[in-house]
Amino acid sequence: MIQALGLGSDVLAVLAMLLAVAGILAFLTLRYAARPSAPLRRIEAWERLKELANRAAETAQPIHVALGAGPWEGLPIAEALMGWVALGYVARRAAACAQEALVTAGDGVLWAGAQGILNEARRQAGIIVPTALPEVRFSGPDPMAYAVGAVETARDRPCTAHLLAGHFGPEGLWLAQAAAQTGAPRLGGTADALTGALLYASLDEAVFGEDLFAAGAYLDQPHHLGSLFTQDLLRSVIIVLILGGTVLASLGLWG
Amino acid sequence: MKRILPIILASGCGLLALLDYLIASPGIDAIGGALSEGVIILAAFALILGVLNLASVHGRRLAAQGERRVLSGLLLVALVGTLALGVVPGPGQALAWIFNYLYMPLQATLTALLAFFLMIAVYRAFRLKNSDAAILLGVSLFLFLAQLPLSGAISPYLPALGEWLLAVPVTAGMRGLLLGVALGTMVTALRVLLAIDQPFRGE
Repeated sequence: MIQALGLGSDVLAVLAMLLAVAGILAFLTLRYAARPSAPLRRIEAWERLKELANRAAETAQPIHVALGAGPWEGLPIAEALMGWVALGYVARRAAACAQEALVTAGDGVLWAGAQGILNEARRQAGIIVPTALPEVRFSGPDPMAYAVGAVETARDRPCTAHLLAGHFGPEGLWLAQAAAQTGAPRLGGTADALTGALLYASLDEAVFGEDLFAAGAYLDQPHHLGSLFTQDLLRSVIIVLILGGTVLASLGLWG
Repeated sequence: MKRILPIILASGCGLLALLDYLIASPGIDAIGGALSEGVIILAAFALILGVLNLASVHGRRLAAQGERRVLSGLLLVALVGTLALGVVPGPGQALAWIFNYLYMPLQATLTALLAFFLMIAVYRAFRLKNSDAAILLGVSLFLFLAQLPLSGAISPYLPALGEWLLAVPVTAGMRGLLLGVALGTMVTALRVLLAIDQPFRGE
Protein backbone atom coordinates (compact mmCIF):
# COMPACT_ATOMS: atom_id res chain seq x y z
CA MET A 1 0.00 0.00 0.00
CA ILE A 2 2.74 2.40 1.06
CA GLN A 3 4.83 1.50 -2.00
CA ALA A 4 1.77 1.72 -4.30
CA LEU A 5 1.18 5.31 -3.18
CA GLY A 6 4.84 6.17 -3.76
CA LEU A 7 5.40 7.02 -0.09
CA GLY A 8 9.12 7.31 0.59
CA SER A 9 10.58 7.58 4.07
CA ASP A 10 10.86 11.38 3.71
CA VAL A 11 7.14 11.70 2.84
CA LEU A 12 6.20 9.43 5.73
CA ALA A 13 8.34 11.59 8.04
CA VAL A 14 6.57 14.76 6.83
CA LEU A 15 3.14 13.14 7.28
CA ALA A 16 4.07 11.91 10.76
CA MET A 17 5.33 15.37 11.72
CA LEU A 18 2.16 17.04 10.40
CA LEU A 19 -0.03 14.57 12.28
CA ALA A 20 1.94 15.15 15.48
CA VAL A 21 1.72 18.95 15.10
CA ALA A 22 -2.02 18.70 14.30
CA GLY A 23 -2.51 16.61 17.46
CA ILE A 24 -0.59 19.10 19.61
CA LEU A 25 -2.48 22.01 18.02
CA ALA A 26 -5.88 20.36 18.63
CA PHE A 27 -4.96 19.54 22.25
CA LEU A 28 -3.66 23.03 23.07
CA THR A 29 -6.57 24.72 21.29
CA LEU A 30 -9.08 22.72 23.34
CA ARG A 31 -7.13 23.46 26.49
CA TYR A 32 -6.99 27.22 25.92
CA ALA A 33 -10.59 27.32 24.68
CA ALA A 34 -11.59 26.04 28.12
CA ARG A 35 -9.24 28.44 29.96
CA PRO A 36 -8.54 31.37 27.64
CA SER A 37 -5.82 33.23 29.46
CA ALA A 38 -2.05 33.10 29.41
CA PRO A 39 0.80 35.53 30.06
CA LEU A 40 1.94 36.98 26.74
CA ARG A 41 4.87 39.23 25.95
CA ARG A 42 3.82 42.65 24.73
CA ILE A 43 3.63 43.26 20.97
CA GLU A 44 3.39 47.03 20.55
CA ALA A 45 1.57 46.99 17.21
CA TRP A 46 -1.33 44.85 18.47
CA GLU A 47 -1.61 46.88 21.71
CA ARG A 48 -1.67 50.06 19.66
CA LEU A 49 -4.36 48.59 17.41
CA LYS A 50 -6.57 48.01 20.46
CA GLU A 51 -6.10 51.65 21.54
CA LEU A 52 -6.82 52.86 18.02
CA ALA A 53 -9.96 50.71 17.82
CA ASN A 54 -11.18 52.47 20.99
CA ARG A 55 -10.36 55.83 19.46
CA ALA A 56 -12.16 54.88 16.24
CA ALA A 57 -15.26 54.04 18.29
CA GLU A 58 -15.12 57.47 19.95
CA THR A 59 -14.44 59.52 16.84
CA ALA A 60 -16.55 57.43 14.41
CA GLN A 61 -13.63 57.56 12.00
CA PRO A 62 -12.79 54.06 10.73
CA ILE A 63 -9.47 52.25 10.76
CA HIS A 64 -8.43 51.74 7.15
CA VAL A 65 -7.49 48.06 6.78
CA ALA A 66 -5.26 47.49 3.75
CA LEU A 67 -5.23 43.79 2.86
CA GLY A 68 -2.63 44.08 0.09
CA ALA A 69 -2.64 42.91 -3.49
CA GLY A 70 -3.19 39.41 -4.81
CA PRO A 71 -1.42 36.74 -2.81
CA TRP A 72 -2.61 33.82 -4.88
CA GLU A 73 0.15 33.73 -7.49
CA GLY A 74 3.02 33.42 -5.04
CA LEU A 75 0.92 31.49 -2.53
CA PRO A 76 1.63 33.47 0.69
CA ILE A 77 -1.94 32.60 1.66
CA ALA A 78 -1.18 32.43 5.39
CA GLU A 79 -0.42 36.18 5.37
CA ALA A 80 -3.75 36.81 3.67
CA LEU A 81 -5.50 34.74 6.33
CA MET A 82 -3.79 36.76 9.07
CA GLY A 83 -4.92 39.94 7.31
CA TRP A 84 -8.46 38.63 7.56
CA VAL A 85 -7.93 37.87 11.26
CA ALA A 86 -6.86 41.48 11.94
CA LEU A 87 -9.73 42.75 9.80
CA GLY A 88 -12.14 40.55 11.79
CA TYR A 89 -11.08 42.30 15.01
CA VAL A 90 -11.48 45.78 13.51
CA ALA A 91 -14.81 44.79 11.91
CA ARG A 92 -16.23 43.41 15.18
CA ARG A 93 -15.19 46.54 17.09
CA ALA A 94 -16.75 48.77 14.44
CA ALA A 95 -19.93 46.65 14.27
CA ALA A 96 -20.32 46.76 18.06
CA CYS A 97 -20.65 50.56 17.75
CA ALA A 98 -22.75 50.31 14.55
CA GLN A 99 -20.00 52.12 12.67
CA GLU A 100 -18.71 51.74 9.15
CA ALA A 101 -15.40 50.12 8.28
CA LEU A 102 -12.98 50.94 5.47
CA VAL A 103 -11.17 48.11 3.73
CA THR A 104 -9.10 48.04 0.56
CA ALA A 105 -8.05 44.89 -1.27
CA GLY A 106 -6.06 44.31 -4.43
CA ASP A 107 -7.38 40.84 -5.12
CA GLY A 108 -10.86 39.58 -5.88
CA VAL A 109 -10.66 36.73 -3.36
CA LEU A 110 -9.39 39.04 -0.60
CA TRP A 111 -12.15 41.50 -1.48
CA ALA A 112 -14.87 38.83 -1.36
CA GLY A 113 -13.50 37.43 1.92
CA ALA A 114 -13.47 40.91 3.48
CA GLN A 115 -17.14 41.33 2.51
CA GLY A 116 -17.93 38.08 4.29
CA ILE A 117 -16.01 39.10 7.42
CA LEU A 118 -17.78 42.47 7.66
CA ASN A 119 -21.18 40.86 7.05
CA GLU A 120 -20.53 38.24 9.74
CA ALA A 121 -19.34 40.90 12.23
CA ARG A 122 -22.52 42.88 11.68
CA ARG A 123 -24.73 39.81 11.85
CA GLN A 124 -23.16 38.94 15.22
CA ALA A 125 -23.77 42.52 16.40
CA GLY A 126 -27.43 42.21 15.39
CA ILE A 127 -27.20 44.66 12.51
CA ILE A 128 -29.11 43.92 9.31
CA VAL A 129 -26.54 43.76 6.54
CA PRO A 130 -26.78 44.42 2.81
CA THR A 131 -25.31 41.79 0.50
CA ALA A 132 -22.49 44.00 -0.79
CA LEU A 133 -20.80 46.61 1.36
CA PRO A 134 -19.44 49.78 -0.24
CA GLU A 135 -16.84 50.14 2.52
CA VAL A 136 -14.86 47.25 1.03
CA ARG A 137 -13.07 48.65 -1.99
CA PHE A 138 -11.27 46.80 -4.74
CA SER A 139 -8.33 49.00 -5.74
CA GLY A 140 -6.77 47.13 -8.66
CA PRO A 141 -5.07 43.76 -9.04
CA ASP A 142 -1.60 45.13 -9.76
CA PRO A 143 0.43 45.79 -6.55
CA MET A 144 1.39 49.40 -7.36
CA ALA A 145 -2.06 50.22 -8.76
CA TYR A 146 -3.50 48.75 -5.57
CA ALA A 147 -1.28 50.96 -3.39
CA VAL A 148 -2.25 54.11 -5.30
CA GLY A 149 -5.95 53.21 -5.23
CA ALA A 150 -5.84 52.35 -1.52
CA VAL A 151 -4.28 55.73 -0.67
CA GLU A 152 -6.92 57.51 -2.76
CA THR A 153 -9.63 55.60 -0.90
CA ALA A 154 -8.10 56.49 2.46
CA ARG A 155 -7.97 60.16 1.45
CA ASP A 156 -11.67 60.16 0.63
CA ARG A 157 -12.58 60.15 4.30
CA PRO A 158 -10.74 60.80 7.58
CA CYS A 159 -9.33 57.63 9.14
CA THR A 160 -8.24 56.93 12.70
CA ALA A 161 -5.34 54.80 11.46
CA HIS A 162 -4.04 52.73 8.57
CA LEU A 163 -3.48 49.03 9.23
CA LEU A 164 -1.42 47.12 6.67
CA ALA A 165 -2.29 43.48 7.25
CA GLY A 166 -1.59 40.90 4.58
CA HIS A 167 0.94 40.23 1.89
CA PHE A 168 2.95 43.26 0.76
CA GLY A 169 5.91 43.75 -1.51
CA PRO A 170 7.62 47.11 -2.18
CA GLU A 171 4.17 48.64 -2.73
CA GLY A 172 3.79 48.43 1.06
CA LEU A 173 6.43 51.16 1.40
CA TRP A 174 4.58 53.27 -1.19
CA LEU A 175 1.30 52.81 0.64
CA ALA A 176 2.79 53.47 4.09
CA GLN A 177 4.60 56.64 3.03
CA ALA A 178 1.68 58.01 1.02
CA ALA A 179 -0.70 57.25 3.90
CA ALA A 180 1.60 59.29 6.19
CA GLN A 181 0.29 62.40 4.43
CA THR A 182 -3.12 61.83 6.01
CA GLY A 183 -1.51 62.30 9.43
CA ALA A 184 -3.08 59.14 10.85
CA PRO A 185 -0.91 56.51 12.61
CA ARG A 186 0.19 53.59 10.44
CA LEU A 187 0.79 50.10 11.72
CA GLY A 188 0.95 46.55 10.46
CA GLY A 189 3.49 44.33 8.82
CA THR A 190 4.19 41.41 6.60
CA ALA A 191 5.94 38.06 6.83
CA ASP A 192 8.33 38.84 3.98
CA ALA A 193 11.73 39.68 5.48
CA LEU A 194 12.83 42.25 2.88
CA THR A 195 9.50 44.08 2.79
CA GLY A 196 9.46 43.87 6.58
CA ALA A 197 12.64 45.95 6.68
CA LEU A 198 11.02 48.58 4.45
CA LEU A 199 7.88 48.63 6.59
CA TYR A 200 9.90 48.86 9.81
CA ALA A 201 11.38 52.07 8.49
CA SER A 202 8.09 53.53 7.32
CA LEU A 203 5.40 52.44 9.80
CA ASP A 204 4.80 53.82 13.28
CA GLU A 205 4.44 50.29 14.68
CA ALA A 206 5.54 47.26 12.67
CA VAL A 207 5.19 43.52 13.25
CA PHE A 208 7.43 40.95 11.61
CA GLY A 209 7.35 37.29 10.83
CA GLU A 210 5.83 35.22 13.59
CA ASP A 211 4.38 38.26 15.40
CA LEU A 212 2.04 38.70 12.44
CA PHE A 213 0.69 35.19 13.02
CA ALA A 214 0.01 36.01 16.68
CA ALA A 215 -2.64 38.59 15.76
CA GLY A 216 -5.66 36.48 16.72
CA ALA A 217 -4.32 35.48 20.14
CA TYR A 218 -3.42 39.08 21.00
CA LEU A 219 -6.61 40.67 19.68
CA ASP A 220 -9.90 38.94 20.42
CA GLN A 221 -9.58 35.25 19.56
CA PRO A 222 -8.31 33.46 22.68
CA HIS A 223 -8.63 30.05 20.99
CA HIS A 224 -5.60 31.13 18.90
CA LEU A 225 -3.53 30.85 22.10
CA GLY A 226 -3.31 27.12 21.38
CA SER A 227 -1.64 27.73 18.01
CA LEU A 228 0.65 30.35 19.56
CA PHE A 229 1.92 27.84 22.12
CA THR A 230 2.19 25.14 19.43
CA GLN A 231 4.53 27.48 17.53
CA ASP A 232 6.53 28.10 20.71
CA LEU A 233 6.80 24.37 21.35
CA LEU A 234 7.95 23.69 17.79
CA ARG A 235 10.46 26.52 18.01
CA SER A 236 11.88 25.01 21.20
CA VAL A 237 12.19 21.62 19.47
CA ILE A 238 14.02 23.27 16.54
CA ILE A 239 16.41 25.06 18.93
CA VAL A 240 17.18 21.78 20.71
CA LEU A 241 17.74 20.04 17.35
CA ILE A 242 20.05 22.81 16.10
CA LEU A 243 22.07 22.81 19.33
CA GLY A 244 22.17 19.00 19.46
CA GLY A 245 23.21 18.80 15.81
CA THR A 246 25.93 21.39 16.35
CA VAL A 247 27.34 19.53 19.35
CA LEU A 248 27.20 16.14 17.57
CA ALA A 249 28.80 17.57 14.41
CA SER A 250 31.52 19.30 16.50
CA LEU A 251 32.30 16.02 18.24
CA GLY A 252 32.49 14.26 14.87
CA LEU A 253 29.59 11.97 15.77
CA TRP A 254 27.21 13.16 13.01
CA GLY A 255 27.33 14.67 9.53
CA MET B 1 -25.87 20.70 7.80
CA LYS B 2 -25.53 24.33 6.68
CA ARG B 3 -22.67 24.69 9.16
CA ILE B 4 -21.05 21.27 8.75
CA LEU B 5 -20.98 21.01 4.94
CA PRO B 6 -18.63 24.02 4.32
CA ILE B 7 -16.28 22.70 7.00
CA ILE B 8 -16.17 19.21 5.45
CA LEU B 9 -15.67 20.68 1.97
CA ALA B 10 -12.91 23.10 3.05
CA SER B 11 -11.04 20.56 5.17
CA GLY B 12 -11.44 17.83 2.54
CA CYS B 13 -10.19 20.04 -0.30
CA GLY B 14 -7.28 21.28 1.83
CA LEU B 15 -6.32 17.73 2.76
CA LEU B 16 -6.46 16.55 -0.85
CA ALA B 17 -4.32 19.49 -1.99
CA LEU B 18 -1.78 18.65 0.73
CA LEU B 19 -1.72 14.96 -0.22
CA ASP B 20 -1.26 15.96 -3.87
CA TYR B 21 2.05 17.59 -2.87
CA LEU B 22 3.22 14.56 -0.94
CA ILE B 23 1.90 11.50 -2.76
CA ALA B 24 2.69 10.55 -6.36
CA SER B 25 -0.59 8.88 -7.30
CA PRO B 26 -2.40 9.51 -10.62
CA GLY B 27 -5.80 9.62 -8.88
CA ILE B 28 -4.76 12.19 -6.28
CA ASP B 29 -2.78 14.14 -8.91
CA ALA B 30 -5.94 14.42 -11.02
CA ILE B 31 -8.02 15.61 -8.05
CA GLY B 32 -5.29 18.09 -7.02
CA GLY B 33 -5.12 19.45 -10.58
CA ALA B 34 -8.90 19.84 -10.73
CA LEU B 35 -8.92 21.66 -7.39
CA SER B 36 -6.16 24.04 -8.57
CA GLU B 37 -8.12 24.78 -11.75
CA GLY B 38 -11.23 25.37 -9.67
CA VAL B 39 -9.36 27.91 -7.53
CA ILE B 40 -8.20 29.76 -10.66
CA ILE B 41 -11.76 29.88 -12.03
CA LEU B 42 -13.20 31.06 -8.71
CA ALA B 43 -10.45 33.70 -8.38
CA ALA B 44 -11.29 34.94 -11.89
CA PHE B 45 -14.95 35.35 -10.93
CA ALA B 46 -13.92 37.12 -7.72
CA LEU B 47 -11.78 39.45 -9.84
CA ILE B 48 -14.82 40.30 -12.00
CA LEU B 49 -16.77 41.13 -8.83
CA GLY B 50 -13.87 43.29 -7.67
CA VAL B 51 -13.76 45.18 -10.96
CA LEU B 52 -17.53 45.74 -10.75
CA ASN B 53 -17.00 47.14 -7.24
CA LEU B 54 -14.30 49.48 -8.56
CA ALA B 55 -16.60 50.66 -11.37
CA SER B 56 -19.52 51.14 -8.99
CA VAL B 57 -17.46 53.15 -6.45
CA HIS B 58 -16.09 55.47 -9.14
CA GLY B 59 -19.47 55.65 -10.88
CA ARG B 60 -20.97 56.94 -7.64
CA ARG B 61 -18.12 59.44 -7.23
CA LEU B 62 -18.70 60.67 -10.76
CA ALA B 63 -22.43 61.04 -10.16
CA ALA B 64 -21.84 62.84 -6.84
CA GLN B 65 -20.02 65.65 -8.72
CA GLY B 66 -17.30 65.69 -6.07
CA GLU B 67 -13.81 67.18 -6.28
CA ARG B 68 -12.24 64.15 -7.90
CA ARG B 69 -14.97 63.32 -10.39
CA VAL B 70 -12.59 63.95 -13.29
CA LEU B 71 -10.19 61.29 -12.01
CA SER B 72 -13.05 58.84 -11.52
CA GLY B 73 -14.27 59.59 -15.04
CA LEU B 74 -10.78 58.96 -16.42
CA LEU B 75 -10.57 55.67 -14.56
CA LEU B 76 -13.92 54.51 -15.94
CA VAL B 77 -13.03 55.53 -19.50
CA ALA B 78 -9.69 53.70 -19.22
CA LEU B 79 -11.35 50.63 -17.72
CA VAL B 80 -14.10 50.36 -20.33
CA GLY B 81 -11.79 51.34 -23.21
CA THR B 82 -9.12 48.77 -22.31
CA LEU B 83 -11.75 46.10 -21.78
CA ALA B 84 -13.32 46.87 -25.17
CA LEU B 85 -9.94 46.71 -26.92
CA GLY B 86 -9.19 43.45 -25.16
CA VAL B 87 -12.37 41.65 -26.18
CA VAL B 88 -12.43 42.89 -29.79
CA PRO B 89 -11.09 40.12 -32.03
CA GLY B 90 -7.88 40.98 -33.89
CA PRO B 91 -4.11 41.11 -33.47
CA GLY B 92 -4.37 43.10 -30.23
CA GLN B 93 -1.87 45.79 -31.25
CA ALA B 94 -3.87 48.53 -29.55
CA LEU B 95 -3.82 46.60 -26.30
CA ALA B 96 -0.07 46.02 -26.64
CA TRP B 97 0.38 49.77 -27.27
CA ILE B 98 -1.55 50.61 -24.09
CA PHE B 99 0.53 48.10 -22.15
CA ASN B 100 3.91 49.22 -23.54
CA TYR B 101 3.40 52.98 -23.71
CA LEU B 102 0.96 53.73 -20.88
CA TYR B 103 0.94 50.94 -18.32
CA MET B 104 4.65 50.15 -18.21
CA PRO B 105 5.85 53.80 -18.00
CA LEU B 106 3.31 54.50 -15.26
CA GLN B 107 4.53 51.43 -13.37
CA ALA B 108 8.15 52.52 -13.81
CA THR B 109 7.31 56.03 -12.56
CA LEU B 110 5.64 54.70 -9.42
CA THR B 111 8.48 52.27 -8.78
CA ALA B 112 11.05 55.04 -9.22
CA LEU B 113 9.27 57.04 -6.53
CA LEU B 114 10.07 54.21 -4.11
CA ALA B 115 13.67 55.41 -3.91
CA PHE B 116 12.50 58.77 -2.53
CA PHE B 117 10.01 57.13 -0.20
CA LEU B 118 12.79 54.87 1.07
CA MET B 119 14.99 57.88 1.82
CA ILE B 120 12.19 59.56 3.78
CA ALA B 121 11.45 56.30 5.63
CA VAL B 122 15.12 55.79 6.49
CA TYR B 123 15.38 59.38 7.73
CA ARG B 124 12.38 58.74 10.00
CA ALA B 125 13.74 55.40 11.24
CA PHE B 126 17.20 56.79 11.95
CA ARG B 127 16.03 59.59 14.18
CA LEU B 128 17.42 58.55 17.54
CA LYS B 129 14.10 58.07 19.28
CA ASN B 130 15.07 54.85 21.11
CA SER B 131 17.87 52.31 21.55
CA ASP B 132 16.60 50.17 18.63
CA ALA B 133 16.95 53.12 16.27
CA ALA B 134 20.44 53.83 17.64
CA ILE B 135 21.55 50.22 16.99
CA LEU B 136 19.98 50.31 13.52
CA LEU B 137 21.75 53.57 12.72
CA GLY B 138 25.11 52.40 14.08
CA VAL B 139 25.11 49.05 12.27
CA SER B 140 23.84 50.57 9.01
CA LEU B 141 26.53 53.26 8.99
CA PHE B 142 29.22 50.72 9.84
CA LEU B 143 28.11 48.34 7.04
CA PHE B 144 27.89 51.26 4.63
CA LEU B 145 31.47 52.18 5.50
CA ALA B 146 32.71 48.57 5.45
CA GLN B 147 31.36 47.96 1.95
CA LEU B 148 33.07 51.00 0.43
CA PRO B 149 35.93 50.05 -1.96
CA LEU B 150 38.43 52.07 0.12
CA SER B 151 37.38 50.61 3.46
CA GLY B 152 40.41 48.29 3.36
CA ALA B 153 42.65 51.34 3.25
CA ILE B 154 41.13 52.64 6.51
CA SER B 155 41.69 49.31 8.28
CA PRO B 156 42.22 45.77 6.96
CA TYR B 157 39.80 44.51 9.61
CA LEU B 158 36.90 46.71 8.41
CA PRO B 159 35.83 44.68 5.31
CA ALA B 160 36.29 41.40 7.20
CA LEU B 161 34.16 42.62 10.08
CA GLY B 162 31.50 43.82 7.62
CA GLU B 163 31.44 40.41 5.95
CA TRP B 164 31.21 38.69 9.34
CA LEU B 165 28.28 40.89 10.34
CA LEU B 166 26.41 39.97 7.14
CA ALA B 167 27.32 36.28 7.25
CA VAL B 168 26.69 35.57 10.94
CA PRO B 169 24.33 37.88 12.90
CA VAL B 170 22.30 39.12 9.90
CA THR B 171 21.97 35.63 8.36
CA ALA B 172 21.10 34.15 11.76
CA GLY B 173 18.43 36.80 12.25
CA MET B 174 17.00 36.20 8.77
CA ARG B 175 16.92 32.43 9.33
CA GLY B 176 15.21 32.90 12.68
CA LEU B 177 12.63 35.12 10.99
CA LEU B 178 12.08 32.58 8.20
CA LEU B 179 11.71 29.73 10.70
CA GLY B 180 9.12 31.75 12.63
CA VAL B 181 7.23 32.50 9.42
CA ALA B 182 7.35 28.84 8.35
CA LEU B 183 6.00 27.71 11.72
CA GLY B 184 3.30 30.39 11.62
CA THR B 185 2.32 29.37 8.09
CA MET B 186 2.13 25.69 9.02
CA VAL B 187 0.05 26.28 12.13
CA THR B 188 -2.26 28.71 10.30
CA ALA B 189 -2.85 26.13 7.56
CA LEU B 190 -3.50 23.40 10.13
CA ARG B 191 -5.99 25.67 11.93
CA VAL B 192 -8.02 25.88 8.71
CA LEU B 193 -7.65 22.14 8.00
CA LEU B 194 -8.84 21.29 11.52
CA ALA B 195 -11.70 23.83 11.19
CA ILE B 196 -10.42 25.80 14.20
CA ASP B 197 -10.51 28.82 11.88
CA GLN B 198 -13.30 29.10 9.33
CA PRO B 199 -12.44 32.08 7.11
CA PHE B 200 -14.95 30.87 4.50
CA ARG B 201 -17.72 31.64 7.01
CA GLY B 202 -16.42 35.13 7.74
CA GLU B 203 -15.04 34.01 11.11
